[in-house]
This record gives sequence, C-alpha cells and structure tokens, in this order.
Amino acid sequence: MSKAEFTDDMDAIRQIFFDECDEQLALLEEELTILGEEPEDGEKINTIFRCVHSIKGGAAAFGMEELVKFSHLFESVLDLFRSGALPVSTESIATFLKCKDALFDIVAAFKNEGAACEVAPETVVELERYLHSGKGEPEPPIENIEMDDIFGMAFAPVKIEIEAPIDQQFLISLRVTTEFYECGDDVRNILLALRELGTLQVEVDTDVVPLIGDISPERSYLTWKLVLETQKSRGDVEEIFEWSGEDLQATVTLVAENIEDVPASLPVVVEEKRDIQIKKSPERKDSATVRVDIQRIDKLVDLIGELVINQGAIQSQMRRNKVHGDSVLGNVVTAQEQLIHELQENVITMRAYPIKTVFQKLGRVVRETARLTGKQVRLVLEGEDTEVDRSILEKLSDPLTHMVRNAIDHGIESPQIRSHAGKEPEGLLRLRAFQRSGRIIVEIQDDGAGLDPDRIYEKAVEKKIIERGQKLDREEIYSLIFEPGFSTVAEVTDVSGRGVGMDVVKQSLQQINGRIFINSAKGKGTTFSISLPFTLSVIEGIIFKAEGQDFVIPVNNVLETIIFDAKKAFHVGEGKYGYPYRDGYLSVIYASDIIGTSSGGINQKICFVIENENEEKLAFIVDKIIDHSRFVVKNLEDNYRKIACFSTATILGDGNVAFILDVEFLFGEVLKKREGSLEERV
Amino acid sequence: MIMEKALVFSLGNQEFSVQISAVKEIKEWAKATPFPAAPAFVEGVVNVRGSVIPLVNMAQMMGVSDDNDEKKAIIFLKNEKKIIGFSVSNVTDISDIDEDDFKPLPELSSDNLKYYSNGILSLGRRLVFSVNVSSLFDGSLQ
Repeated sequence: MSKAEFTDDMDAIRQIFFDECDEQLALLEEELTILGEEPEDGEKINTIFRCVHSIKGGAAAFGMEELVKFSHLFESVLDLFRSGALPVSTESIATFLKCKDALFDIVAAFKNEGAACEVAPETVVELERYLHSGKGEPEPPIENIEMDDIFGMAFAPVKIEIEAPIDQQFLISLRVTTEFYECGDDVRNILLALRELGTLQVEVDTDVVPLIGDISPERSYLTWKLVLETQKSRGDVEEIFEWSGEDLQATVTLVAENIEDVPASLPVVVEEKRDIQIKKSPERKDSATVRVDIQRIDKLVDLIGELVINQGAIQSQMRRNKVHGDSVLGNVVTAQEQLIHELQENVITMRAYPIKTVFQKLGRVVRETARLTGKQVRLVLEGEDTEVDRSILEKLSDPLTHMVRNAIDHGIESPQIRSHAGKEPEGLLRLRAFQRSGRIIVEIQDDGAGLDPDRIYEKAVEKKIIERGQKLDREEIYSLIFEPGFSTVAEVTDVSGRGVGMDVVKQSLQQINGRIFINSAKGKGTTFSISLPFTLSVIEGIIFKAEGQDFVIPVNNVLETIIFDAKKAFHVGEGKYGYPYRDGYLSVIYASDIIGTSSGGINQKICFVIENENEEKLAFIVDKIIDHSRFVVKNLEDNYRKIACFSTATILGDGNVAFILDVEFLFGEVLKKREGSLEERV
Repeated sequence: MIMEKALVFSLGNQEFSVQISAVKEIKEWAKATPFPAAPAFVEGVVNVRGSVIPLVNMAQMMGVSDDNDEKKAIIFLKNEKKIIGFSVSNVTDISDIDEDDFKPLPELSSDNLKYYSNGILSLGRRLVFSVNVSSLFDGSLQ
C-alpha cells in the first residue's frame, strides 16, 4: 500500500469518526432534553455518559488531546451523577448542555483542522466544582452500590482514583469480522494495546477453521481467548475494543476472585451489563436502520425517475397503436404504473430524515441567543419525527436558525418586561413540525411582544419600501418584514439584524418551494408558519400546450381551470388585458407572450387561474390541456444555468424535455407590465 | 511523440478538433426543446438518458460559419461538472496528435477564433483548428 493511499484511508477513518461524533452529539442533545423533563431517569444519564465516552475513545485514537481532556472531565462529572453521588437538577442539566456545546465546538475545530478550540473557562470551573462536591459527599452505603456503579466509578480513571488499585483478571474472547481487516485493522494491534495494560496470555482457537478446500481466503475463522491481569479498570480494557466498533466482537468477563462482595462459589461474574453496553449501540442501529451512502439512494431516485419516464413512453406508444386501456395489456400497464408509483414514494421516503436533526441544532442557538440577550427562554419541540426530504432539510437549517434568533432577539421580551406585563419571566419558544395536505408545516411560535403593525408601517415608509398613505391590510404589513433592507431594530445587535434579514430567509425558503405565513397578536406573540413540499424530486403538474410546445405547470399553483372566452378579455392598456373572474377581474398573461413566437392567440382556449403564496391571482392563457400527472423534476442548473421563467424541466413519455413553469415569474411579468405603464404615465 | 488523441469534426467546410478525453458521447442530431430568451446559439435542451442537457450550435457560437449547414451530429462534452451537447455538421475521425503538428494561429485570426481555438493542427494536408474545451463551456454558459 502506497503512502498516499494510507493517508486517504486515514482521512476516511477520521471522517467516520467525525460522522459518529455528530451522531453521538445529536443523541446527547436529545437525551439531555429528555433528562430535563425526567431528571429521575437513570437510563438517560447512562446513555449520556456513553455518548461522551465513545467520543473520548475515538478522540484518543486520533490523538485529539483537547477533546480527550475535556470529554474526560465531562465524563468524570457525569459519572458522579450516574452513580447517584450527585442529584440531577436543572442547573446541572444546563451545565451538561454547555459542555455538549463545548464538545461540539472542539469536534468542529478538529474537523476543520483549524486552530485548537478553547473551552470557556467557566464551563471547566463549573465542572470541576461538581467534581469536588461529588467527592466531598459522603460515600453512599456500600450495600447500595451495584456492580455497575463500581465499574462506573472505575470508568473515569484519572480524576477519581480508585483507592488502591488491585490486580484484576479479565477473560476476554475476541472475534473479528472481515470488515475489521478491510478497515486496515489488525488483531495484533489490539493484543499489543492490551499488553500495555498488564500481563496477557493469548490462545488462538482454530476449531472452526474448515478444511483447506472450503476455506474462503477473505474470511476470518479465528477466535482469540485472552487472559489479562491488570490494575486497570474494565473501562480501560473495553476502550481498546470500542475503537473497532462492531467489527470486533469482544466479550470481557471479570474473574471475580479479587472482589470481596461476590460469593466465592461464583468464580466468574456472569453479570454482563457492561458487555451489553458495548454492543448495545450498534445493535440498536442494526435492528432499526442500515447505513447507506446517500448517493446510492439519490441514484435510486434517479433510476426510478427514468422508470417513470419509460412508463410514460409505453403508455404513449399504446395510445399511438390504439391499444385500449381495458385490454389485457392495458390492465398490466396500469398495474405496473401503480407499482412504480409506490416504489417511487417508498424510495423518496428513504431519503427523508426526521426534522429532529435540524431542531436539535436549534437548541444550541436558543441557549446562546438567550445568553447573549439576557433573556430566559424555554424551548419546546413538537413533531421532531416528522420526516422531510434530505435536500430540503439541508436548506432549512439556515433560515430556521435565523428565525429562531429573531424570535428571541426581537420577539421575546426581557424577564423584567415580561413580569411587568404579567407573563412568566421565562419566554416560550415552540418549534412544531407536522404534515398537512401533502406538505410539511414548520411553525416557530413565541409568546413574546408580537409584531407591531404601526411600527412596521412607519419603518417601511422610512426605508422607502412603501409610500406613506398606501393602504395595506394587516397581512400585507406583516409581510413587509420580508422586504430587502427591512429591520425593525434601530441598532444592529450581535444576535440578529445584520441588515440581511428576513428577506434572505424568504429567499432561501423559496428555493425549496417553501412558503411562509405570519400570524401575530400584539402582546401575545408571533407564529411563523413555513409550508414545505415533501420532496423536490417529483411534482404533481398539469401538462399543457402553447405555441405547439408542451409545458408543465405545478398543480398546487392552479386554483382553477376555466374555458377562455376571448370575447370577454378586455383591453386595459398597450398589450395589456383583463379578464373577469368570479366577482372581480384578473390581469391576463398569455403563454404566447412568454414563449415568444406569438401566433396571435388564435388557439388560446384555456385559462388557468393561478395563485401564488401571497394569494395574488392572475389569468394565464394557454392553448390546450393535455394531461394531469406526476413529473420527475430535473434541475436545469445541473448542466446549464438558470433560465428565467422556467426553474426546472421534466422528461415526457416520448423522451422529449418539457419545461416546468415558474409561477413566480408570471407574477413578475405582471409587475413588469405594471411598471411599464407607470413609466408611460411619467 | 504522440500527445493524445483528438476527435475531428466539421462545421460547414472547415474541420475542427477537441481533445478526446473531454468527449462523453456522440449522437445523431435531434431537435431540441427550445426555450424563450435563450441566446441565439442555444438550440434548446435535450434528454440524454434522464439528464436535461443544453444543445449549443457550435458554428453559430464561434461565428465561424454563416451558411446554416445541415447538422448531423451532437458531440457531448464534459468538463468537471457539466455536460453540454454541441451540434456539428459531421464527425470525421479520431486522430493521433503529434506535438509537431501543432502550430499557433495566424495573427490575423478573428477574436472569436482566437478565443475558442488554441492552434492549428496540420494532419497531412488537412488543416484542423483545435478547439479549447473550457472556452466552449464558458461561451455556452454566458
């Protein structure tokens, strides 16, 4: 193996470690949150301990000293809580959360290979205080200590020295999988590491090695039986195995000769709690999930997309050859279509992640923002298990972060003001995710001061976003905060309001076809609701013809489809038309105007009444509706660049490309035409 | 000394070449789906096994041939990330290129030609303009 390859492997292993760190940190956050609600839950603190411990284990293997040092300190403190020496309280949970954030920072610093990250000294001081107070506590009566607690104490080897270390004998049985070797690991390394701990006897069990003809050269058939005599704790021994994860199956049994409390008739402690722990975390994942490279799933989604296109091709061939839908072939094809549809939905859900991953990051944002602004905030998460497509989730994190900061900085009042207003000093921030009519709704709700329409109006006039005297209803005033350059706080604060504000939030949400709504009551609080599509890879649309070409319009923008009566269209300006709709009139956009090669609109028979997220409507006139179907979305920017008017395209059954209309562009056209007429007047 | 292989193709009566390593695929010409407000040299987009790929009329973009010759082939070229199809009159052959065959363009060449071509290859009696792939991409994505 060349040196370069070795470095690559090392990088890959490092990457795996960081991935695992992220997972552990996420789990840590989750467990800490639950612990906050149920401080009595002993299992939670165990899980927390294990998370920190496994981060420490990996860090040690990579020589990440700061990480080892801090996680070790954290672990030692956690151990005191785990053993019951200290009671879990709200303050201690707050400290744990701080430590979790600090761990996150250190890991991030290593990940970016940046400068070493200093942990805030007060966090360390806090931890040390716990450590001392824990030690100062009278030892709990000996009969209450279970085996696990003893080992637990021994788990934190440096800060809390176990009085007079004693020689213990461990029986260890090792088995390894093929992957173990594929990762470049070697049992020899493990044995060498164990030897460091004390005296080691090794025996290789070759019982299961098959006859030479049956040997698979890649497989590992050996089992190692080891006897280790050491002064080190079980934790230290297991730490060596932990690094190899599930590829190494190690059973560590403590021979109990040296422990007085255990009856002599039981030479081996069969109580294998610690052993289970090692296996537990991989096991939990094995049964529930399989780790698959996201690119493979993306590829699967693409392939199914092509299958859908092919299916369309078969159906259009059938039509061409006049094969009736009721025929045997027709029925088979319909059944096939149903199956492909189901397959597609299933694969798309495979790419979905619970929104939890984003929400958990926000916990930290909330704590930090609250600290910086001197406010008290309680974060409540609901519907964290709601699943969202990965591509959407990735783009959701930044806008949500910004909105959460805003809600605390601008929404929730300081404790004094809140008490004065007769509210709890602690503000409530609720993040909620749920599904509604095929879309994902994410709500950010605070019980703060609420939006002040008058102030927003004044500010918008001041910033020349609107003209004084312009009549706006409440919703329109609220939506002014999404205008570029709008910010209600006069001075730029540390937290939010860097001039780029809600307009950026809105833009990034639009990129993922998200819409945002505001609901607010002065003095009571504000709720921002974000509505997101479940996936970006398939849309439901109507395919129509205009100027002899096929186009697709997303069905969720089409309010109604009506027959267009050219006689009812009336002239409202140079090349501008209106059309009656219900008890009002709509601006008209002809498809031929947009597509360019105007044929004079002779064929225009159909009117789409289109609505956008601001509930603006317009009439869009096309030639003919062809079909209503689901379309696989293809991004034009993959191989080209943005095209005005069409953000994406799809591939039809005949293999041709059809563009998917960007509805916002049509409203932009109306605006352009309106501005055109303004200029004319001047 | 052989440097590498080049794909030789024609635009009208003139021959051009691109380095073979950038060629992803060659297909028979087919009509693309046009879109409004596209630059004149972009014929539209085509579907190649599920990817939507722009189709560029190379002669028109490079301004080298004003007779609208029959286009018989599409050469799909690939840079780091994107794939773009270029319609050409015909694909001639694949040639080994010697370093000695490679000569600079004459001073008088048009700016457009200088932008897209990095030299002339003399293959026997044939005169072939070597086309710079990255310029093709830059030009197409304008």
